Amino acid sequence: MTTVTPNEHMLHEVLRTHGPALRRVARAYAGDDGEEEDLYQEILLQLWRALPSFRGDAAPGTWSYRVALNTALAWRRSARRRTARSEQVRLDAVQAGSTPPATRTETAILREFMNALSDVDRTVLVLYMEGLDNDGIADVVGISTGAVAVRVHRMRKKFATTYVER
Amino acid sequence: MWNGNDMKLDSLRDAWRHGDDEAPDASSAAALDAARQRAAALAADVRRRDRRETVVALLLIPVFLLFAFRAPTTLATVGALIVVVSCAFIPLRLRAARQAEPDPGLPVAAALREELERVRAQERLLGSVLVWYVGPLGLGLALYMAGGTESVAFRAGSLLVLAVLYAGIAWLNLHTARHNVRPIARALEQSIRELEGGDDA
Repeated sequence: MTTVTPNEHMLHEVLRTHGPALRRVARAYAGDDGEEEDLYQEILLQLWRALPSFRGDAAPGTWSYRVALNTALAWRRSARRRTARSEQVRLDAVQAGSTPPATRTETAILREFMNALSDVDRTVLVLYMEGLDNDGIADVVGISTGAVAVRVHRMRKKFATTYVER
Repeated sequence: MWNGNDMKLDSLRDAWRHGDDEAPDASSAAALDAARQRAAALAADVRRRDRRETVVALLLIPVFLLFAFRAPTTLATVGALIVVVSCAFIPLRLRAARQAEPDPGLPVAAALREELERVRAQERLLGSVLVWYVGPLGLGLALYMAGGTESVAFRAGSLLVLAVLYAGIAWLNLHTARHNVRPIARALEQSIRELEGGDDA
């Protein structure tokens, strides 16, 4: 009979409560359709591998966001090396931007906005969209709350300039 | 659909979460079981690679020990003994140089810094591999060939082949460092700079 350790039990709970959020992280960083599932599986693998080093210093939710985002950022670095896909993503974003906003869904606009951001800003935006406050985002990313506030303010302004005022 | 000028970033949170119910999500137990199996398979791959390196080294050591005892000249004996020492040394050094993956549970900024250190170490390793890892092996082989009793033309030809092989290895390492490792280091440096710059803004 397999014994479930407390950490494994915690991971089950993390997946039960944060599984959809982890999938959204995968969606935000994946390229074409097939990659989202691959990246999600990679996030699960890294959660499993990181489990022995979980000491409970951070809340399980914070920890799972950290693992997911670190995995997603590593995934993008390696994807960029393989195919220089980032340039294509930015190109897609520019091309998509030429479509009148009224003909696009909110999801498409959000995706387009995210694709045009740097990896760092995208990380902050993902957590912001997840509903974390500035302290929560600062905890996951490892920067000051003030720095998070500045980034969020800049992004909201950029979004307004790009999509609302035109 | 996009519905007007009053749309703000905050109001897209619903759209962000939209579609999750449609996504076919395996139960956490099944998903974790799959992750556990993949982790075990990856660990088995690493063990197999370590075993392969050790076996190759262990096979070469007795062969070159025999060559050392039967070598026709002192130069060839010294060369064969250098090969023996190198064969014992290389797998140990490679295993020691293989760094552990950074903890993915670290805050993003700290994980980026750790990863940058790891990538820089990898770049340094690629730069020094010719000197510290395969260099002694090549020197041993060169001395063994030079100390042989074959014709001068044969020995010169063998040394030339060895020189070309080592030039190829040097080029390959340089190419890997420049085109694969350095761009990753640059991307990491840029992300770290961007994160650290946020405070000043």
